[in-house]
Amino acid sequence: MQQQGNRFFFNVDWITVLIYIALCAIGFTNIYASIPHPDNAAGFDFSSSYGKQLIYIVSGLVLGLSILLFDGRLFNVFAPFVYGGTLLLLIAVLFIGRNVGGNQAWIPIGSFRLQPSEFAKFGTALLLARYVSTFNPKFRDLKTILIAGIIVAAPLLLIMMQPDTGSALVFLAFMFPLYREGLSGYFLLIFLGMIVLFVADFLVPTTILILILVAICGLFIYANKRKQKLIITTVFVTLVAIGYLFLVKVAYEKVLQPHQRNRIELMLGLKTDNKGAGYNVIQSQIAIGSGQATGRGFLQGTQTKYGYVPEQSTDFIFSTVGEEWGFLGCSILIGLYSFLLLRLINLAERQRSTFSRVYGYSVACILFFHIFINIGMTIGIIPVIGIPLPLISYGGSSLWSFTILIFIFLKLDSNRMGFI
Amino acid sequence: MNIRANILLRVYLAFGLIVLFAFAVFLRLGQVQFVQGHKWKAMADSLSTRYMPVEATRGNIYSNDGSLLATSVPEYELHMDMFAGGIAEDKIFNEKVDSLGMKLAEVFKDKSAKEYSRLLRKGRQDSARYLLIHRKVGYSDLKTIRTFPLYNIGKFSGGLIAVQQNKRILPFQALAARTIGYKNANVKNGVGLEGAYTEYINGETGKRLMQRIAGGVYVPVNDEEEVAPKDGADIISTIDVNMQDLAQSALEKQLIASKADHGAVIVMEVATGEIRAVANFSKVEEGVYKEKFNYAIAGNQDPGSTFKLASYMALLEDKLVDTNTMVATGNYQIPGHLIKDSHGSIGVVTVKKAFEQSSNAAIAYLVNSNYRDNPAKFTDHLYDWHLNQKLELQIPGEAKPVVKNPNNKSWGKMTLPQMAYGYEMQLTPLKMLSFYNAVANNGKYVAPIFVKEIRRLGNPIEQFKARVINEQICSEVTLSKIKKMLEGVVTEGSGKQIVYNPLYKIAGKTGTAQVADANKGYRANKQYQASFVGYFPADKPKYSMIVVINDPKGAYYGALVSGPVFREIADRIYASDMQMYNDVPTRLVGNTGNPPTKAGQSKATQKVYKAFGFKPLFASKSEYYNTIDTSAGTIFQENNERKGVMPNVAGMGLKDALYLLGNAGVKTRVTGSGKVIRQSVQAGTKVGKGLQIDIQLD
Repeated sequence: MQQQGNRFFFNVDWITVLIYIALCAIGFTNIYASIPHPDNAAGFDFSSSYGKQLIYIVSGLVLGLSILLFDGRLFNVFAPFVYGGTLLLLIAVLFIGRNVGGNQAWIPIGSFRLQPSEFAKFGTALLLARYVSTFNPKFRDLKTILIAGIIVAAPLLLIMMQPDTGSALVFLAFMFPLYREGLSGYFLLIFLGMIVLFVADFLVPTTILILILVAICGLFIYANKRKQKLIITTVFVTLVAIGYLFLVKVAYEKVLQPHQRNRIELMLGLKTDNKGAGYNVIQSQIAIGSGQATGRGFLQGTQTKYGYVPEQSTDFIFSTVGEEWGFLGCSILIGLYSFLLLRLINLAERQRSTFSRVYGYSVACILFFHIFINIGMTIGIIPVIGIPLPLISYGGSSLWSFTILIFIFLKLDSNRMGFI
Repeated sequence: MNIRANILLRVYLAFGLIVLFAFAVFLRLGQVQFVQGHKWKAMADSLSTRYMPVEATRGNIYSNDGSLLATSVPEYELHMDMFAGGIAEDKIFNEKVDSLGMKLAEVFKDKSAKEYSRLLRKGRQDSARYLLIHRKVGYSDLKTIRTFPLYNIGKFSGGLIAVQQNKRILPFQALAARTIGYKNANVKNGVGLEGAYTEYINGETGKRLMQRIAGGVYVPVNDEEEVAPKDGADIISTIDVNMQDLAQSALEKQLIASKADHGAVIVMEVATGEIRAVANFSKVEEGVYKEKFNYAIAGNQDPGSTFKLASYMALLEDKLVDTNTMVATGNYQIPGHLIKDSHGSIGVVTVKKAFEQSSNAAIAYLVNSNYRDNPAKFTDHLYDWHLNQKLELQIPGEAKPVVKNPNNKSWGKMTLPQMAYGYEMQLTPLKMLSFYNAVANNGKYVAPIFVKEIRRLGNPIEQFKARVINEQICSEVTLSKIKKMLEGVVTEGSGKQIVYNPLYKIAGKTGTAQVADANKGYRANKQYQASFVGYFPADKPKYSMIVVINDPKGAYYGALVSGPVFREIADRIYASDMQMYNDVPTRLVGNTGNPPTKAGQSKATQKVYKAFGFKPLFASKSEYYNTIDTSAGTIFQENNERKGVMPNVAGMGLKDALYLLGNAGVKTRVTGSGKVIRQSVQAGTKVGKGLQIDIQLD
């Protein structure tokens, strides 16, 4: 037994746990700073957001440590049930959910509000890992791609119906673990190409863009004039791309909602609106910018203290870090995140079981997407998409969902010598 | 191996992406924080801070005897941010909203608890960030309200927004209200002293750097960059509270008795031209009179017989008549027109007698026969006395007098004889009074003043002396003759029965003018203006006074209607003015103990004591206290103000007393001046909001 216990503790990757705790602590500190403190003598208040966050953190830690006590094989076995459960919750939220800020995303349970989309992430990660590990599919087959696609698309579409575009976008992160498992790199290229064309469509007149595409196509054909098959593909791709350009214009007007169009145009610098739609980003950048090298100091940020940045403790928590801790603090935070992500991928790569590896990659990529989108939006290089900064933003659902994601992987990792 | 290399490539790609992303973020952060840092920082300050005006405390208006006529007390308008930091959570809000509604209903009593919680819930639903809760809330109420559920979460995070406004109150309420006037956003220039001295009273609005916090509320950033507001200066008016009170009550009584339309009383100090009282009343309904229009300075009318003073003065100056010149009374026939004395003929009498009995026929004849060939000679006298010019008063609204001259188109054959007894001209009561005042003042004609000093922080910054219009309006000889005639009116003539007081001498003149209807002229319906103007004591004039009553029902003669008012006011002023008695011995007694103090603000009193080197026995901690004078020292008693409980204001000055009473929520009526000697409700008694209480000062 003694030996068993030692091995248990030895096998858990405590470095990741330490980073996890460090990030939670940073989150708590900044949430504390981001609510006004008019009478500082008030003491610790558990009904305030920082007080609640402390409760979430402690309960999250308990939750994480108890996950470590599970038998690792259970996750594989129960994956379909977890996935099914989260899908049911996602359907339920459309009917009994509570509408907050335009999104029907929360199920009220007593005083706590459950956000099913947060938990759908690890349900999807589990099922995807199980599918890939059990059937050992070939990603050259259309069927495999379709099944994997459906597993990811089902929750994605349900979340789109809330409509919570930000959370839905995160599911695109699953493309990366699948790529690692053999999905063609073209999918990533197509994805990247779509983004590039989308942005270019705004900045460059469509006719010029078409001319550029045709020119590239012509050069490519000229370079490969002997390869007939490649020429046909190239022409086809070019035509699809031109079609896409027109489709984007239409979809942009018809599908996207006005506030989303605003956010995109603001980010691309096509318009400025410092007091209206652009308020968040401007205020957030003001906060970060005024932090400069070492920040204004803890509880000294005026943007932060006086609640200038809307959603300061949730989606825009990074601006608090930027204002009060400056470039130094931001660098440390990004360093911690980068280290966590690299560590997770490193851990994933050392797994013997496919299930663990796919799951590990999924966790890393979900985290990466969250961090990338969230920080990108607060510093104005990505349009405003309301998703939380993992482990730092205020909110129980998001904290617990990331805790579960990470600790399940740590549990799987601690069993890496065993057989799952 | 190829597969392995492929996988490795893919893994590197994953690593690479993360590193690339981290690098991109670093770059952008560096750009935002270092390259553009100053730009953002400047933007932060410009977007979040702004200079907000800080309203200065308006100055007070004091009476001549130091009573407070107008002062400002803070009042709050309460708003609520329904999504302030501390109450953003639905649970917190929903839990407490009903008890907050209940508490608010308890305090304000204008809506039920249910209505208040409905208001709050509706505001929440509408995401109101500045929901009006209540206007005109006193400071003590505000203090209570801050402890209510939700609001007690935090000064700002509870959602309560209190906007301070200064409310103007007149401690003596209707006393001289029209002269004190008012100034508010609805009136462009303001009325009365408040309007005339706005620039002084308002002070200078300060500036304070404020920063916006959650919910659109601005809070001060610091004290350094602040431009402090300059509090308004105090106005020391010439109004005497007691005389004003006398004038108002005497006038009102007579107006009610005679069912008149309106009336005015002005009391003026002879030597200085200082106005001691101005009362104006208009009928609003049967038996109810309110101060609505300043007839005293703006009520232009035919003065009637009181103007005969000027006519006789001109005749005497030109030595065309003497007081013993004989003149016929009763009728004076001008071709096509008959001027008749309403009392009938008293035969051929001396000029003095004709004046005393106020014969229209006599003066019309005298003026018309003497100046008919050169009417300008007569009107030149009037113009020399500036009767056609405004007095250039310190308060706005003075009507311009109209006195014709032969060059006017409307000058007719009847103009000169009618002008002789005060028709075909327009003079305000104050204009007429100031002319009589010149006679009382031995010929020195001064323009009346309402304000004698402007003080800032107790130091005079500007002092006003009455402007001298004419050093000597007529010769000494004429003056003494005129004075004798005016005294005769009271001792022998039309004022004898009513105005005469054997204890001291009053000099004056009655006037009964028919009032011209704007549309129908004099013949429309018989409306009269009864007036009495004069001064007292006649041998050493101290005050001059005019009483004008318009459209009395029943008796309409000046002596009968306005005479009693004049007499009552004059008697009481005379009785209360020590200086008018001769040789009243005063005894000064050395003070050996600690000087007694008025009860009041503790800091102020302690400061004064300290300055004089006295040591109080016991200094209480509360802001206000009462005192008991002992030979050994002064004991300070705690005076804890509680809402709804009558405070002890005995011994306090008016300002402190009003402040405490206002906080207690009662309405106060004040009589007298000095220290509070009596309060109509005992201290410690529970009092309802808005209860009327009286305090007496002495």
